[in-house]
Amino acid sequence: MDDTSIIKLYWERDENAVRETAAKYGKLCIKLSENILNNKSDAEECVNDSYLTVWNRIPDERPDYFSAFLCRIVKNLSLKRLEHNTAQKRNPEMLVSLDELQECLPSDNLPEKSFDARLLGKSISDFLRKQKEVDRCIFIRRYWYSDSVKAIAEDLGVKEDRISVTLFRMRKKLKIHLEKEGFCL
Amino acid sequence: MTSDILAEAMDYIDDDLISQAYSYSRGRPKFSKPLAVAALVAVVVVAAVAAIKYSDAFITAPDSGDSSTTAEYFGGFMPDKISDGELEYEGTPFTEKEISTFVEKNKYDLIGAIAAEYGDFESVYKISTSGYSHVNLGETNTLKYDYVDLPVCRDDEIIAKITLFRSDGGLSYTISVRGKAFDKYNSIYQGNLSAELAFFYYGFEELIITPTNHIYRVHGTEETLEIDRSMNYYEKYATEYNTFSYNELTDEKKYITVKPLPEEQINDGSAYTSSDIEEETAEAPETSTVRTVNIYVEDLMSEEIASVEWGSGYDLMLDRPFRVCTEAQKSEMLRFIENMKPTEAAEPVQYYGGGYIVRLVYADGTRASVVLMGGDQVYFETSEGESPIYVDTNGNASALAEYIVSLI
Repeated sequence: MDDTSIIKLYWERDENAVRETAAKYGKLCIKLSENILNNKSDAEECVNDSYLTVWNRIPDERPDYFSAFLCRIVKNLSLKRLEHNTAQKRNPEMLVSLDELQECLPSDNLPEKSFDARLLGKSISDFLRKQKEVDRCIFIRRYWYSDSVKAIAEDLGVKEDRISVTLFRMRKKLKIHLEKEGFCL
Repeated sequence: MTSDILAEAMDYIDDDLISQAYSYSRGRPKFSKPLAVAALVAVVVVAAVAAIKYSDAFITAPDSGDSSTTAEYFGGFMPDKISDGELEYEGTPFTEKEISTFVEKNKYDLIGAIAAEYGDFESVYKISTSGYSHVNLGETNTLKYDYVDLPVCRDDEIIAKITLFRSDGGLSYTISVRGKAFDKYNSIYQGNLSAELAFFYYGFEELIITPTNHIYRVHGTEETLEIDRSMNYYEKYATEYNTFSYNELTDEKKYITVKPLPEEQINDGSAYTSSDIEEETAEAPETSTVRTVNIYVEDLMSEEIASVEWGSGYDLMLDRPFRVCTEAQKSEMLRFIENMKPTEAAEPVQYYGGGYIVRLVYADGTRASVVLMGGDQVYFETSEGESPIYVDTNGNASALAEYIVSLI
């Protein structure tokens, strides 16, 4: 079922909306949540909570990109759950992916108020739009979905080191981009 | 910058980008690259084929032929579905006599190249004269008669493969050596010694299917192969032309034994007996020092670009190990890069949005404009035209470009 039809079901308060959402995006949501929580049962709970949240938000909302809308909810709920979990339970993959990305950004001694996360996010979006589709998707999968390099490589059917090289190259380019945008020293 | 700010910033990435990444993964676009890339494959193949006419670094027969059929043979882009229709046929089947005659005529060229790669001029090599074609699976399932792969064996191990194909009324060939594919071939053969294995291309993938319909994937793991497994491909599409048994390499009627000529004789060119090659060599510009490179250099370069693969074009585009790879070529390319020098131009290296443009002079003074296109391709531009040495769509060209720039 296409996203528009699923959203229509939500608007009609048809419970099949949740079933169709789970059928189409369930695996992705579980994976995304697992990437953050490193725990399947926690992830499943978060995803179920996410469906409820979507049910409560549509209506009134009518998202243009339903999968992104859903994934944002899953991610936020998973992050909230993460806060309640012990540090030991955190999935290192997520932390590692953020660590990797940090090298693109200004040094720690800059005052944090220098950064507007929304502007920074927009700048990263602008940068990504200038990249090749495959590179862009690899980047987002790694740094938004926190997918492991191995998982991305397997999914795309290429070697892990090819993904690593692509990410390495993109981080360097992103750093240059952010410097030009005035985010870096 | 803390991870929290970063995480928050990442959360502001536009919805369509997030959505696209997911769609992209689901659609496995590596197999459905844009048509522009398909066109590029053709361009690259044409250029590579043209380039070999003045290059002795590319091990292939002259008149390597129709680039479009070459690209097509190697599978092309991943089909959306596999038809369950009847097998179709294309081209003219090779007879064993035809293959034997060709191999006999060119055996020292063929084995000389392979022996040079392995640095082994003492062993005796066996070239299959039966070989096998492939059925290309897709919207139509087509047996491509005009191409036949001939395994080459040394000490009971498959160590190379010669692809013989029809082109412009004649025959041409390419050679594949080394690479993990041969480990896989041997493993599959050893596990199915007497079985008539069937050979297929499924988009980029070379598949080997047993009579029990077990599907092996030559490049990659079987677990991640996405293919409709409900169909019995072997039963439906295995023919005498696309099957091969390891036992054929133990039947002396089905192979030709060759002991390579001494290395010195190959290096001085006296080993080349094919009249075609002699004729083609005579036409090659004597002054050309720019080679079309066809090298797999995982262990030669810096760690940073360890994954960079070099190729003549189409193999790379199709994400396969390179068909030709000799130690001599590796040395040649490394020497080539290390000896490159900037021109007198004020800015020999110019960075622009998509990568670098570098203008260099080869060590012997022959001017060569080297254009490095980060992210897409690296190619040499000479007075004779452009010679791609590296093309891909996965960004490795940038790493290669950066490496070359770092040498300047």
